[in-house]
Amino acid sequence: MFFSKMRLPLLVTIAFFASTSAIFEDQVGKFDWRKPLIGCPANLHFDKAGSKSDRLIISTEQSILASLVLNTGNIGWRKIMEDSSETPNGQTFTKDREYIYSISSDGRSVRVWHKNNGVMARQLTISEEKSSVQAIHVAKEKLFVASGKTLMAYRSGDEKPLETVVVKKERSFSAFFQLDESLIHVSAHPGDSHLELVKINDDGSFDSPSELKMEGFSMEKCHAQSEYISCLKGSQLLVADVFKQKVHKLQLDSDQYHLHPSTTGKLILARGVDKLHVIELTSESGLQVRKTVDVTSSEAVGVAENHESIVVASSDAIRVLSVNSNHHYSAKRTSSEDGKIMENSKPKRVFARKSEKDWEIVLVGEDCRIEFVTVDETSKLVNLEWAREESLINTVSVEMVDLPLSESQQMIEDEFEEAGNFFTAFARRIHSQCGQLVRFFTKNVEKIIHVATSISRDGNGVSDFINSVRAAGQIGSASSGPFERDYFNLRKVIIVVTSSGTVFGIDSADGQFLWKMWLGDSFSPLESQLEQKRVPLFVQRTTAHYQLDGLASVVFSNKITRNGVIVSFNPMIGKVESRNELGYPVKRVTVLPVHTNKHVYPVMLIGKNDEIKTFPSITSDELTATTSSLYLLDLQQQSVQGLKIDISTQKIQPVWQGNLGLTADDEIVAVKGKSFNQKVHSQGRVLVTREVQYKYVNPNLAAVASINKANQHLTITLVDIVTGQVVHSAAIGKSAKPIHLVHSENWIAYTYWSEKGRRTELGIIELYEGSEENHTQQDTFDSKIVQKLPPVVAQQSYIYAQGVDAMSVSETEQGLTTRSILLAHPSGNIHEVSRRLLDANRPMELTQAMREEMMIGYMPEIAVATEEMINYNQTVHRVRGIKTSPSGLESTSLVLAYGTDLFFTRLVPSGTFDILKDDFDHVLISLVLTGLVVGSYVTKRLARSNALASQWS
Amino acid sequence: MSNLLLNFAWLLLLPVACFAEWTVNLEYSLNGFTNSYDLGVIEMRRAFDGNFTGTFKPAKDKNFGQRLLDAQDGTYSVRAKSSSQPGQTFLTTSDPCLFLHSNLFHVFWISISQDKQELHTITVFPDTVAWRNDEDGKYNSLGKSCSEKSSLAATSSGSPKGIVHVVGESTLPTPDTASFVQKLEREKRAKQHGADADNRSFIAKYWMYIVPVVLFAVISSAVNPEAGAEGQAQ
Repeated sequence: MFFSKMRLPLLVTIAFFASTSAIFEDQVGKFDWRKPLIGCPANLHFDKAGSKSDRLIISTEQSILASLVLNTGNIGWRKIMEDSSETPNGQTFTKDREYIYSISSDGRSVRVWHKNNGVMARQLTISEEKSSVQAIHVAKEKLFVASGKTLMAYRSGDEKPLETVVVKKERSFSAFFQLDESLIHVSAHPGDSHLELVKINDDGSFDSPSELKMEGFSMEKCHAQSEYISCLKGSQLLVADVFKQKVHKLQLDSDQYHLHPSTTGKLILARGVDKLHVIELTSESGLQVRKTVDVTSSEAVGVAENHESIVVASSDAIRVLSVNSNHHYSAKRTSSEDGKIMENSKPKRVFARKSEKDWEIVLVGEDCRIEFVTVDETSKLVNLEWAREESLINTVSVEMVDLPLSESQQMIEDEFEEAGNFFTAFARRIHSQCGQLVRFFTKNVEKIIHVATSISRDGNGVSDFINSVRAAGQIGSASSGPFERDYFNLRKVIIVVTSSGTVFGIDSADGQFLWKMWLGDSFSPLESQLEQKRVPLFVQRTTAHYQLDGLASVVFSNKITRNGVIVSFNPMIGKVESRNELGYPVKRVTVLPVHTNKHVYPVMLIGKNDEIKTFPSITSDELTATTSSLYLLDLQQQSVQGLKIDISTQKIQPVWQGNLGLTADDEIVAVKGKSFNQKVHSQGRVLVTREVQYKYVNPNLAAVASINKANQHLTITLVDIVTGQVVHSAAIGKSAKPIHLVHSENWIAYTYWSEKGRRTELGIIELYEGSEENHTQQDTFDSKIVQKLPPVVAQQSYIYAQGVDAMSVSETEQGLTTRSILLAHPSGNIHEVSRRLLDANRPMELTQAMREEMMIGYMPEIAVATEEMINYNQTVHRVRGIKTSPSGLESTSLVLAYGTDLFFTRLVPSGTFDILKDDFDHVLISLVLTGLVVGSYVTKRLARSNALASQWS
Repeated sequence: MSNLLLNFAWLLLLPVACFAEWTVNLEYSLNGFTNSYDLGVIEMRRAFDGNFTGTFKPAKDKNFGQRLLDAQDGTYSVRAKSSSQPGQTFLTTSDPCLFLHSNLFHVFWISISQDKQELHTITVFPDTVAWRNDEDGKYNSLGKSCSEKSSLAATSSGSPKGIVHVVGESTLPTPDTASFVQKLEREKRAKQHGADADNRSFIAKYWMYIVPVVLFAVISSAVNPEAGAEGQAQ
């Protein structure tokens, strides 16, 4: 009381709350893990970094340049470029002995990187214009760059170009060719039937261009390699020799061929439906098919680095064929996974080289899995050295599922499940308790053995002993433990769905893969209005019903037919339960808020022409009166509809129609509803005046954010989906993307870029029903009956000194803990802002009573302190989404942030109020306690004998 | 003088206030617009503060209640056309039963844009203020057919009545730096002038620290009187 009466400075108060979220140094890595990713490789080079071990230099579709350590598969270094769009061919780069030269920022600059540590040495601006037609080459101490219309030469280490040529027309193709000492730049302009050749002299100057006639040149059907440009024109193969300026022709047997991309060297690969021609250009006989190899569609082909062998890889075998001789052999691949379901796709790209001992082959799958295998020529064994799952970079949907109940928990459930008379119930009780006793003993014996072995292993100091006893208390929670729910339900299976067509089960304790599912070669993500790619994931049955397995489903579309596909699987082991292809393309997918008799929440798939199917189907007697229909919000440009779907009759009918003020200029940027199982613990908020302000908790409320392109107005409309009632609508001018929105309980938090203030602003809208008199004491919220008074809206806005990439809100089991808003910064931090700070009711003037309530006065800025970063120094790049999930502990929320990296941690928005600190030392305290008891007994005896002795003396 | 001017201004504004700025025509149907009937019109007027108020002018329809009663478990749809937005229709639906319970009193919840004078959405609710007494607060729209909920008396006959609730577009706040700076300056000034200085006496300010010290001294001297006595004796 005394303290609250003292005048605490505002900052101290804030610092006090803020400091609770930081972690200690010894907690680093204890609850969290991070998976740094590089993305789907488009281009790969074997390389030696200095005198150290071999590296792979990879440029990926997600515009990342990375170096992997060849022996381990770990990332040596990784450079994340700013290019926003996906680059299917990766970054254009070249390398020499020491540096890597890459074209970045959409063809506007060249960056030079140190090869062994990835440190940037130089950056050169080459063009003002964006262009995807790029080429780069290093030769004779000079760097040659072509991007868009420009062609430049630099002397190594120089900032200024030696020479620059800017052509008038846009290029459609650009490449450098080198043969011995001569160097040529070849380009083509769209629509032209000739190539433009520019000879580059020794001093770096460019000759005037000459022309080479090349009929039917088009970028899609042509491929540049070594000294040739090869093109397919129907069934005819045209190969232009750049240096001899001559075009060779070869007639193939059909027009089904395509040129194999990413081939280097002199061999030209033309791949047909079931065969592969290896073609070579020789000066004597022109184009010539050197070898024809039978290949199936599930095999990928690559040329070895020495250009003498062809490597053909499929999911279960690798074939190596020599071009010059008949020498060839095949090695079988075996999966070495121990009982786990690990479905991998067929390989897409093959990169190979021959070392002294064996073949080193890097396989890139359709699922972006990078595998490094070695093939021993003599034993014909394929040895998997390491593998990386890079499709995780395309994560689109995440769910966290509880682990199954442990054996003892199941027994307790069993005990109350079955009905019976008094005696059977008693027998069951005795039986289950005997079982518990047996388990207790076996567990302790295991523990003792573990301690004993670790003591004998670790040495015999006192500190070693204490440490090993401490460690013994933690076995079972670690990854070695059984696959069952832990006491606080903190360990979960994270299901991750990617837009590459893979589904992963990840152990949340350490980030290990439990299982992997490949959704098939015909996989294609659904496309939605707001986000581009979507693969919805639904947990239909959790593991709470221990007699029944969990069930989850993913919905995607077939690449060929465009029809919707739903795959249901067991989320614990990744076993596919059913796979159904619909007869129509999917427009909307939703999970029903009502479950069948088997505790499965069906998924409803609505087609383009309002076809409806539910998986699994639900019968009308499983529906209750309150859940017989489902309401959907249908947002079209300028017209908004509320649809009612009768689940049993599967009829869709509009229930309301309006426009929410959307015009042709308005773009909807976010629509956020609430999940139907969100819990709101407290119905009201106690005010300083001891009155209660009741929350307006409408489960049918959706927040729609739209931005007007013409006048830069950001409008947030809160609409009731059942009735179309606009509860609140507000707009702000001079705002721009990125806009993020979070909707939870009775509040909406949003961020936007304010053009006026040139800063990010963070706003909050809270809805209240008003004080007691207006609060109708109803069990359930009823949208169809209007409140006597409209909801009271409290709004506030704050300056936020950082950009925002993604936004989310913490989720706890009972919704009792103060929520936190999580904001991912472009710099790679994830910032936790408590709702106490992001509050619409922070008063400008603090009165004495408010101070007693520990209210925080209004400050226009939400401070970004480094100790509030939940990922401390574990930078998480390009975060696209943050998934939060409750744990068994009310204080703790589990968080997975996904983007270029995956980052998982536990979040305690109000501190761990319901659990002892994890460094609470049970063992030491009990040891001290027993020591004290024993000590006091001993000293008592000693004192008595002392007193006796002194009396005798 | 100023009074006269004000009166003059009033006179000027009076006709503006009387004429409806725009109207929303309503029609209703109980069978998905196979048959539709006139429900009335909502007149929108701008008040002096720029906000709009709406007035519902019901159509003279004596059969309204009876029609609702006949289709009590059906759907009561209302279609609206705004005079300011030709070609656009707005739809809202509800349960007829709810309106039988509220003595045919409606709440038309409409959201508009004040600047453009356009209708965004219209939603029709039963007016809970006119709720029949025996049902107050207990009624909900879920489950059961209408007749199961309670017996409907003959009061259901009559024409529709209603009020209009208008939700305009408000503005989202911006960070309030100006008043925060003002507040800081005010506090600074107050500190300089010493107006807010604590002018209580020393004892009044720090009694909570002094009392324990005094108490401690008193107690320790009370517990150990001999020590003091011995000292004096020496």
